[in-house]
Amino acid sequence: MPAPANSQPDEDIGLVREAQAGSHEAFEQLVEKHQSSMIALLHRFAPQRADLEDLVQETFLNAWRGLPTWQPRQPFIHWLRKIAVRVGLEACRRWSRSTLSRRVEGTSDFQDLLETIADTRTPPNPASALEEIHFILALLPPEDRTLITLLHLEEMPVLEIAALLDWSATNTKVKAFRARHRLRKLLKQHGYTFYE
Amino acid sequence: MNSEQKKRSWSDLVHAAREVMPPEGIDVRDDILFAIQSERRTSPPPTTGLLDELAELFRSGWMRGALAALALTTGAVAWQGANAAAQFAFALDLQGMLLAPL
Repeated sequence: MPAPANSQPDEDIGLVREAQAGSHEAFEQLVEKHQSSMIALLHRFAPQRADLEDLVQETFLNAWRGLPTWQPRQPFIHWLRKIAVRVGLEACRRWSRSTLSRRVEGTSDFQDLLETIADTRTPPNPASALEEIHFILALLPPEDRTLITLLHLEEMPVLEIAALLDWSATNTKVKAFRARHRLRKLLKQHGYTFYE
Repeated sequence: MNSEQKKRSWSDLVHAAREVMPPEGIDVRDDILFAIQSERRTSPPPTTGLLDELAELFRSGWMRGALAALALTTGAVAWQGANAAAQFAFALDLQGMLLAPL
């Protein structure tokens, strides 16, 4: 849901001002307050605990470094979510470039594994479903992977995604359309059904 | 059973995956504090203005000694220069006296 601009006073503003003045204690309180929502959001990108912890840390460190530029035009939590989504996108880019993912995802074993998973008749349990989704999304370009993660797993509206990624609404809609098209093609290739 | 029924549905996968809760007990506060304190220790000193840098320079001992030596040298040269100027003025005066009848 897009954050309403200036509709109500930002309840974090006092702590943010103190943190901007260099108070570690104030920033620690901000981390304590918002880390659970950041963990929930970034868990969509990184189901593995170690990766998730890295992304959450990266988000708050980027927030600390960016604090001097924060303006109360937007609520702190909205600004933090923007940072988290960008951290998620950068992680997708890193993972797509990493030697390990190229080695694993490019092999015929990986393709066979996908088709074996897709052919399973038992309904997926939640944890394995999430693993399976990330397995599939790893075959998409990083921006598509980010968009599908936010659209399908986080159920975020396109306009909010546009606001968080600083993309125009039209650009985001076009990118989302293309991402869905590539996903549909990929799923069809591997025998999944795809309905929205 | 047709092949559609055999295959897994993306929507089912997504619905199931949304139910997964993030791992419990993650708390990054200590790591964040450690990281930002380390950044402060390793960050370069803040840049100062030109005037601050000049003041710092003039406070250093070697600069004070150099300035004193420069002042003495300048004084000696000025003293010698003053003599030369007086001689030059005297020559001009003579010349004036010699040229005046013309």
